[in-house]
Amino acid sequence: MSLLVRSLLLAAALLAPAADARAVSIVTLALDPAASTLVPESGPAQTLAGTLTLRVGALPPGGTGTSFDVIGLALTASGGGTIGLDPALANPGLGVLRPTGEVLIPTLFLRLEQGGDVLDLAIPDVTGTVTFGPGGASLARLDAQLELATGGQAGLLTVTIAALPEPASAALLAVGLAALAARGARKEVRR
Amino acid sequence: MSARASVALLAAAGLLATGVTVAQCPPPPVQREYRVLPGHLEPHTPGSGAPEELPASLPVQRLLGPSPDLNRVTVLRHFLPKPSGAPPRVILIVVPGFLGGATNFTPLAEQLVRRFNGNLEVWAVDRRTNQLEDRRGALYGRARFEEGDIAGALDALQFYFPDVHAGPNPFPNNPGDADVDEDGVLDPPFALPDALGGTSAFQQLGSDDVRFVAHWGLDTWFRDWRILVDEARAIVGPSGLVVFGGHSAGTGFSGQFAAYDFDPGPGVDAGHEHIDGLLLLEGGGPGPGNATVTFQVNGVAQNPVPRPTSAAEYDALVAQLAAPGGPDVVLSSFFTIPLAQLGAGAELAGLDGHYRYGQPSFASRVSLLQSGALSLLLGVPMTAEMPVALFIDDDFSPVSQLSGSFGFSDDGPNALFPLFGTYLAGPAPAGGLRSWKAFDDPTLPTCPPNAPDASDGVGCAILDRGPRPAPTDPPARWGTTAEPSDLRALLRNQFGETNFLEWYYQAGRLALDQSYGRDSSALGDESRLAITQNATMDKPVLAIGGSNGLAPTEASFASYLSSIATPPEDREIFIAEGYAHLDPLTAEDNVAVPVIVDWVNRLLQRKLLGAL
Repeated sequence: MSLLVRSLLLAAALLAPAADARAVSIVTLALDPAASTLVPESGPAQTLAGTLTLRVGALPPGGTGTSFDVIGLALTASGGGTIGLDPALANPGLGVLRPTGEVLIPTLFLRLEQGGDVLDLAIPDVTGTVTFGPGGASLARLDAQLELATGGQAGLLTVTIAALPEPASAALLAVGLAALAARGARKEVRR
Repeated sequence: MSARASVALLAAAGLLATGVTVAQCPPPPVQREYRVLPGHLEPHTPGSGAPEELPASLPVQRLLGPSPDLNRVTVLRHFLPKPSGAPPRVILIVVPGFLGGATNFTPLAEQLVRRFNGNLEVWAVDRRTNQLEDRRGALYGRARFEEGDIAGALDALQFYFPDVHAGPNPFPNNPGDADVDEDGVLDPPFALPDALGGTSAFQQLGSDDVRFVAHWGLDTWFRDWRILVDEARAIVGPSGLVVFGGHSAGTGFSGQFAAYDFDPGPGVDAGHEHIDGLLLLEGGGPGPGNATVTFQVNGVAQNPVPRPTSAAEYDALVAQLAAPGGPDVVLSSFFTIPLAQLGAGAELAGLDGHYRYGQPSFASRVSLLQSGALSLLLGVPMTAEMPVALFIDDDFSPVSQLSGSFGFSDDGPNALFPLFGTYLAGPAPAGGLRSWKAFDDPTLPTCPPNAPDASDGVGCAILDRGPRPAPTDPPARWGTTAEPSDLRALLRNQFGETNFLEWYYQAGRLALDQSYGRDSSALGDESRLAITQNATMDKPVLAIGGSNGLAPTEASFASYLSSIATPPEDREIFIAEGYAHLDPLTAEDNVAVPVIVDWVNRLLQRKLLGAL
């Protein structure tokens, strides 16, 4: 393969995310353990760690917004419990992202597990906020808080999520942005 | 920003918060509310106040008082309040099928509401004629059963089914006498207080008692249901979902509702413009109709007449129905069984089975079960849960429109009833009682090793009906039959705020209107009937069939789906393998639930994005 062809392929790969910015994006965010917690009404707070994977219809979202689907969720509390998506449903986390960054998941279907116990539950009206990257073409941060009225020993359970692009995703994003910047610089030079 | 959910099964919360493993917790209790709302103002109906108003007959007054208002629409609401107080985002309105009542939908509704944790409500409709059911005996009986007052419970049976000497129709081998309390005395009919301040026995209504029903056409039904749709829309808002649907014949009614033009003038106000999706459960939707109309008189079919093609012809037939002595306006019998008695009997048998499961049946003492067609099916000594079980289980019921898979009975000989391909239960050995084996009993008989023709005296609860037909093949049953439905839940749903069977299924006017199928343009007058918008119906449709039911394959829905404007990608079909006709409504751990949940989720997302 000639150097020219390889260079063109590499350039195409680098430029693809920017050129296709309005297509569906799959984004994996990692929880910031320092800012993600699970706090029962009574009892000690726990930290939360893990990832959530999103399928976003178009960035930046135009008009009334775009689809914002949680398609992967793997959270672990420091107490040992895990939170994932309900595997019985094909689409357990369908939501919308407004141009303002507001997120709404009308019903989020979760599965909680600890040891051998499995509990499926639905959380109505989950809201959150997305902080966009430059130009609205990427997700820089997601914040959300869920309050579960347990009625049990723990009382009200508050789950706070602060999620950032994974290091790998962030690196890819940086490369894409750099490529964009380089292309812009070349255009400037031609003028 | 926050989301707050009431999660009654949240031992998980404690689990996650403390790291303590917690055992299974009870699911959140779904609440029910029976709502009676002002319905469409049909002028001939008692209580309308219009010049055309017809009087309520004395039997109707005994039930509903001297000045009843029958322009009402009733619905059984299944819901779970959200702790935030916010309204649900989705309301599913469902219509039962032939002889069906609102509680047909209860198990499905409870699973859907619980699954959405309050973000979805299910409103199950009772048609207008439900108001005519004389449920005094059932309510009295329930109170007595609750108190453990057996003599009182037997009085409730004698309210509907008084003792009979020599039996009304001792066939084929019954003793002919019905002594419900077995006191050796021919007791008089038991009477209860009525709405006129006196006491009276069971008010079993005939068509001449309710001639105003001749004016309850599909137009009246749909305008009643439109009231519900509008209320639901006001609750969920413009970005929420109102989904309409039905079961069995209710799929036909719901499809016709979607096709209805509510604009009384030349404009168009299509029903489908007010809903966001259509859910068809074990029924193929509205058909193309018939060229003729057949009325019945006292249950006897009359000569068919051509379907009217003008308002004058249509009005003439309605006038026949409204005239005393005219054709039946409510179905008088079903398999020779007086329908109102069947409804009352089902409710009593439900009470008996619920409160006295496993004990000798009281309900089978009554004349209805000891004579005529029911004695063939229910004529052997049995336990209290058995009359409902044998009447409705797909292995024993001769009526596939009413059957589900609730278990089996194999503690006595079974024989094949060739006419229907179902089993007849013979007497238990040594004078014992036939009893029921629940749906989740691991010893339910399978074929093989048992014989489908019951030549082994047992037969099969579970059998293989063969490979799945191709989507374009004619509908045929296939797959391994399932036993997903719980008889105990069915017994419980026979009684309460409302019930499972419809005692007065409309005839006459319904036959007239149904002759137009999914397009009443041939009538040429939208002021009588306006099913004119089927071709413009473009909302998403989810059709669910049962491979052992009446809509067993994709082809079951082809006629309707090909008649509407819904794009192919929005026509979804799911066939639940092994499910009989009622199972999509009555199954525990219903396999249709995740399918419906996913469909609703996708519709809601589209709605929020303005793409629906």
